[in-house]
Amino acid sequence: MDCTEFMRMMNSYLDGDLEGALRAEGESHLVDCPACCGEVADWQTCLDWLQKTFPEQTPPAELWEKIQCKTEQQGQT
Amino acid sequence: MSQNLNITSTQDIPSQENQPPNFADIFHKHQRPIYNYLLRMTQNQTEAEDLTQETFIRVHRNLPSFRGEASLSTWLYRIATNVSFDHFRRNSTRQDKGALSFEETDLDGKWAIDETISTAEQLAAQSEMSTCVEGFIQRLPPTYRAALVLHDLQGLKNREIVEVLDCSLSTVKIRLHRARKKLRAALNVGCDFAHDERNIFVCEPKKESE
Repeated sequence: MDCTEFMRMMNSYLDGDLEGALRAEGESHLVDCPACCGEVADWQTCLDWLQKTFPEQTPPAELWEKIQCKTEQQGQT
Repeated sequence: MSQNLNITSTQDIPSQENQPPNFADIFHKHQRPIYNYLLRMTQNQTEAEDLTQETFIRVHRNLPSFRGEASLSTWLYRIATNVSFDHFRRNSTRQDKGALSFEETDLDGKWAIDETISTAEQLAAQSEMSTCVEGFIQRLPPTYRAALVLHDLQGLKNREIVEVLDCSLSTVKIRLHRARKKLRAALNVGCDFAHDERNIFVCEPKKESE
């Protein structure tokens, strides 16, 4: 696998969608190619940062009451 | 216009004996991912709360017609997506007095990330460090933002996003790829990545001198 082929499959590689022989070929290419390896690291940094910027939050406690109130109103109309 | 809420592909079937699942159970099990999805789409807690309410009200209304032929989770995400797109359209119409298209061309048009205006001065005016990234995401067209948020933050697979966004697999892949490219390009232009004194990974608006 060369750099062009690897770059074409970069998203699939990052998402863990590459399987079997194709994944093995990709990983083998990364061992020999600092440029692609750096590219993967940059992407992973970017995606890691995205996840750290938007951590999971707890919904407001009163949400259920509000929804219940509205669905009951809906049921009455 | 909202998409048809009935999904016809088969996945896990939540209902038993063809009975619709209980609304309270659905809410308590799924409120957290749906609220977080809408929070990440809007980046505004009040809007996310309002849209979560609207989502579950639509769920309540449509539950009797839910045939259990699709994943319940995918169905909920689809309703939440419709609710958020309706919200963006309403806001856009209010602000622009014009119709909003969410399609591919928008990535270079109305919703384009204008990297030239992401100057250090403008970014520095933003109060929280994380707004450095949030600002770029908010400039993505909603369809691209949805693909990015669903995949990279909510953890959905591409085939699930196909059902949520009602488009082809290749369209999902293209949107995700282009959204990631835009995000990365914008981050490279506008942000510096570093570890702070607590060794926490942070990003900061680029300094003007750099």
